[in-house]
Amino acid sequence: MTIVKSKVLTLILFGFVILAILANLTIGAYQLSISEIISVFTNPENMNPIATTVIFDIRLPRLILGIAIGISLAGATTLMQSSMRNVLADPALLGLAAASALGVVVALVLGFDFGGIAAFIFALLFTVAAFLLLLVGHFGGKRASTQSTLLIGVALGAFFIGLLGVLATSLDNPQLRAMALWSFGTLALATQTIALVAFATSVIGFALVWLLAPKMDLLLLGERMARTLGVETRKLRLVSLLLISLLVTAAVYGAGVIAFLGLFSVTVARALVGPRYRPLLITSSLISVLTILVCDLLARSIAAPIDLPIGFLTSLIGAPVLIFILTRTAND
Amino acid sequence: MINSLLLQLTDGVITRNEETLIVQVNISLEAGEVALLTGPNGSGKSTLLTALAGEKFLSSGSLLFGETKRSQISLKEMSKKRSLMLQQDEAIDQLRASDVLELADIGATIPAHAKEFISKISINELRDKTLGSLSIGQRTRVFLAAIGIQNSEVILLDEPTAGLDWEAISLLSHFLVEHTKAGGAVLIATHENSLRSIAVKEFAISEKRLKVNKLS
Repeated sequence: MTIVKSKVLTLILFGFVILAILANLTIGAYQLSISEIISVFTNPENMNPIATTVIFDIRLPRLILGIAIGISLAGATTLMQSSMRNVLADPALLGLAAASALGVVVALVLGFDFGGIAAFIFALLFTVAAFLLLLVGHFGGKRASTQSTLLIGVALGAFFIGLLGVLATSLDNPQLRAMALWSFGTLALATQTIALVAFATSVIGFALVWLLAPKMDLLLLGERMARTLGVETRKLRLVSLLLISLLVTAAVYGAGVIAFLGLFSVTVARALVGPRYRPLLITSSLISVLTILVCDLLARSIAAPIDLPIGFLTSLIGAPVLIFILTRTAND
Repeated sequence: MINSLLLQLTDGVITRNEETLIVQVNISLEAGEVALLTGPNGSGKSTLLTALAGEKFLSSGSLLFGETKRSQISLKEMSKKRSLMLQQDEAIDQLRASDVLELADIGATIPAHAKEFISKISINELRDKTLGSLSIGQRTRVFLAAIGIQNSEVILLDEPTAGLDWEAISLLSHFLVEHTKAGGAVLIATHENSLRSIAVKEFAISEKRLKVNKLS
């Protein structure tokens, strides 16, 4: 794709993201017009207090959390796929998101609050630990194959989700019970704090991935060639591991495991703009944000007033994409 | 001519996957030399080249670039000292040829003879194609151009002529000669004779040992 075309693509995606943002702010049980939303910001004294509450306590946190998740899962998946050299790598598929969610539940079992800093730190530590386990599985065998790493990740994820389910449902605690459904991915528990922490973390993480991009690009040439061109690949992998864990935590700690979003958006973006990091990061994060905002609108509209876990919807979109890639690679 | 020694391995032992492939390896490359590395399949040519690049497989021995030990040179500095092209690259297929050329540009000043080689070997029609869509020979052309762009003192090549047509082989041979004239050195692992005429010596692997033959 030429540079001009990729700029046009970016603009089109950006336009759709803006439309999705407006739709998410206006549509809902309490309908708001765009002019009402504008006056909530410009003229808050004269506004209906219900409208103000709906915007500031419900829709904006939910919107900002959605954007944060879109950005962080796109960044984490891009980084994961190239550092593991596997186009099927995805934080949810390889058990990292499940580990992060387990960390949150463990923090809750220990008496910390949902959405608090302790929950965030637990989620981060569990993600790093799961990543290390995955790498031991990947490099521990005599010869690491793509498929076996993938299956190890799937197994780890299933194990963590099982553990999470047992913890969440066996203790007599209503907040923990809610976590069983939360673990399937939902933006319904978004608060201002969660949204801000997730957003700040994802933006910082994404910016760091952006700075690493030129070196990560060299890794596309293969580890050996990257090293002969002067890249300290081991250091780079360690930094990637930490950044991926940080981004996954940003996505999971407020919203649980949102399956396939990263895999879906990075796969589509790579087909559009190729494997180079910076164009891939921009395109995949726009697709990811757009997808999550559309899915969230659907999640709270199709069975209203029931709020469906958004992870169900992203699975419905993402799973066919995964099957498509698998059948295509099998045919090559 | 003490300063002309670009690369020197003394008493090297080459090991891969806990198997000792070659022992008592003594190799030196001086500025201005093109050398061949020969030996039967599986004798460890690629492994030796990788070891000489300062990357793994050297279980004992002393490896010097100029007068400095490998361990005292950062990877970034190493990129100016040597380049390595293995027979099979590990680049992902979705990269375009132009991406490879861009990524290999780590800021080296490229002399005129290298510029000419780069533009001729990585013919324009290839640039916009993805690596996955290239033939073996075309792919080799792209990575040879990358070697030209990196412009390191020592060039280590593993079967560089595989899949190349005569035009490309003569471009390569001309470039390597010019490179050595400009003070560089080249070591080529090969089964073929097409680059023999430009070589001044041959390291031949036989029964886990290395022999040096002078070529004229």
